[in-house]
Amino acid sequence: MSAERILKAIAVLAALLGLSALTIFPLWWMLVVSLETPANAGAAMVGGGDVVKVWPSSPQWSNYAQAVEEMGSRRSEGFGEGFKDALANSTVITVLVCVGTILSSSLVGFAFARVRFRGRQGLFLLMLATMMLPGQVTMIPLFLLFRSLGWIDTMLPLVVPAFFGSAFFVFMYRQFIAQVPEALVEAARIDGLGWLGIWWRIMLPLCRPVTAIVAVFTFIWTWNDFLGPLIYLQREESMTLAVALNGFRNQYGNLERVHLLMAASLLTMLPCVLLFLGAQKQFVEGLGAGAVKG
Amino acid sequence: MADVVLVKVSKVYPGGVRAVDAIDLSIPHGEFVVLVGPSGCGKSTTLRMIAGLEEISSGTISIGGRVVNHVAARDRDIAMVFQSYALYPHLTVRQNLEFPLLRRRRHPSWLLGLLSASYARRRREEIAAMRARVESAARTLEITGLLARKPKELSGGQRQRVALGRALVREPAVFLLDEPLSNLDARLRLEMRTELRMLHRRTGGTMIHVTHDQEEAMTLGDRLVVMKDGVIRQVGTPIEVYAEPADSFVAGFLGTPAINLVAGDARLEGSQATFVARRPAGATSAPGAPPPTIALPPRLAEVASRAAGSARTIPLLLGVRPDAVRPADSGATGAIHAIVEAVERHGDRVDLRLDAGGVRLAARIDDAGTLREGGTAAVSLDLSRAHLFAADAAGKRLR
Repeated sequence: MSAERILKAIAVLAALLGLSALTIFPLWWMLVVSLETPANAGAAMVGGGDVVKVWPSSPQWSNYAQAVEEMGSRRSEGFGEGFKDALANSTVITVLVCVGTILSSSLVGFAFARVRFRGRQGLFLLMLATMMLPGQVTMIPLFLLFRSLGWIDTMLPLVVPAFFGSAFFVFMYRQFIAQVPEALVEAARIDGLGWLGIWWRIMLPLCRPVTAIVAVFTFIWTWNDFLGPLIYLQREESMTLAVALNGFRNQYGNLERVHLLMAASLLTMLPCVLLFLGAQKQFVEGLGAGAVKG
Repeated sequence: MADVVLVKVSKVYPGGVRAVDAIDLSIPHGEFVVLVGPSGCGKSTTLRMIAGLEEISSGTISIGGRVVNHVAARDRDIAMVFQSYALYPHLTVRQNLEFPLLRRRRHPSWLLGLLSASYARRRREEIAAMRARVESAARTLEITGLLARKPKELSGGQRQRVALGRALVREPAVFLLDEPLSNLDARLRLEMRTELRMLHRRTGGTMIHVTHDQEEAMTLGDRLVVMKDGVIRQVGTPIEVYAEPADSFVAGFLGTPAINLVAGDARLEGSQATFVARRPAGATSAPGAPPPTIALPPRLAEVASRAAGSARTIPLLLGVRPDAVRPADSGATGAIHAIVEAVERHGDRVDLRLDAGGVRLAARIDDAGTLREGGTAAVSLDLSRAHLFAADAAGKRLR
């Protein structure tokens, strides 16, 4: 290897390391603060770099137990009951929303890509146009709608819309399915499948890379969604982790307890990180889908 | 019995394009029929209409005596092999082969199997029968070793076999093959061609094969259906279509190298006729040399005089196969003098391209001898199997 190439490699590596450090910094900061003593953590909010070390001199692992204990509504009923509630709520809502989004978006995308019907193009454009509406515009009309249905303080307003497709994901599925050779659909028709069968048995399995993307994005958005649950869920025991975290902050926003907030935040984001790492291969495949013929 | 009968079948696309124009075709049970023609001739559309993948604009299609105009593709008792094979990429070879059978089970529900013992027994029997059929098809096509693989792990030839297998397991009344060999390399194509023939003999099913490759059509089909511009130009056995073409298009389409179609005038004097070739517009080579004049044998003279009626001359096309163009002594009567433009040696034969006074002639001979490119040659035409065609657009063969 020539000296020039070695220098180039070092430069590239340094740039990558620098960018990685930039990305990892907030996470590292959260981790360190979550393990600090209350006094140090509080001081870190004011003094910053003077107080926080690369690794705390005496990591306070008990901060995590304390954060779990003090989270959520039913903390008086035993260790971590409130946290368990919030975790269960978040999990149920997120899983249902993921399933609903994947099923409905792929079905609609399949129809737009493959079924010829009158007004297909117009409907597709109309659907795309809904993406231009900011959420804030529809928030109040939606709230009124769900209230008139009597769905307030239930999971329904958060979950049911997912079963009616998401414009962007419909678009993604449509683009992907449009690239599947027509002959496959025809072969399936001759082999005895109807439209629904073709969607379920041929298209959904073939759309795995897209589905991975949809699943990861939907999971992260729903898991971290703050506004939706805040608006529609009113009882304390039905709140999700994201909302519980917020309640926590109001309560302990004072600087002495910032270590608990960081511990709780890290716990809350753990599933997203794990999911992303697990789905990474599929994910990257999906982002490159269509670039290379499969 | 699965006769396939098309009566006045047309396909008109939105926008008025007539892909298929009122074709009539009757295919008896067990026949291997090849639809052949240049691209855009409507052969694939015809096949897809028989398959039920394309709606027909008018006419009727019946399979086994039943009109299937409005019958869904899956209920027509047909199986189709696609040019791209159309194997399900997410399923293994075994699952691909089982796929059409799974969809046709009478006892598909495992839930009902839990509730009723007799249902469960029939379900098990059905699955066993299905497995047996898959195994047997895999043995026939010699793909038993590939059953656990995914399509992307197979070579083109293996994919082709799996696609055939998926059609075979169905035991359909009619096999439809849409250019199934055109994605294979030349050697494999020859092999699969032979196998298709053998497969047809073994299964005895009706097969309708679409191709644009005239050689494939000639070697595969019991009968050929030659199409052009959505119309059937001729139906017949390969020998009939080759030896007795209905028109100049069919004559030109079948056979390699293509038949020599020489434009000119037949001059009639009594029972004699002479064919004077016309120098094509734009012909540049061989300045000065006149286009050849050919004395027509009595059979062709009679044909020409019948076509001419009372006229003394008539414009015609003379069709001579390249293997009827033979080297001759330059002094012999009727010898045509030409310039050798190209010599292609194939080992067992030699193809020549000649320029006789501006008229291009292809010749297929056994031995090039002393002929060389740029040199001259004398050839004679064996007109015993030559044809005369009308010089109009339809180009009907004159009889």
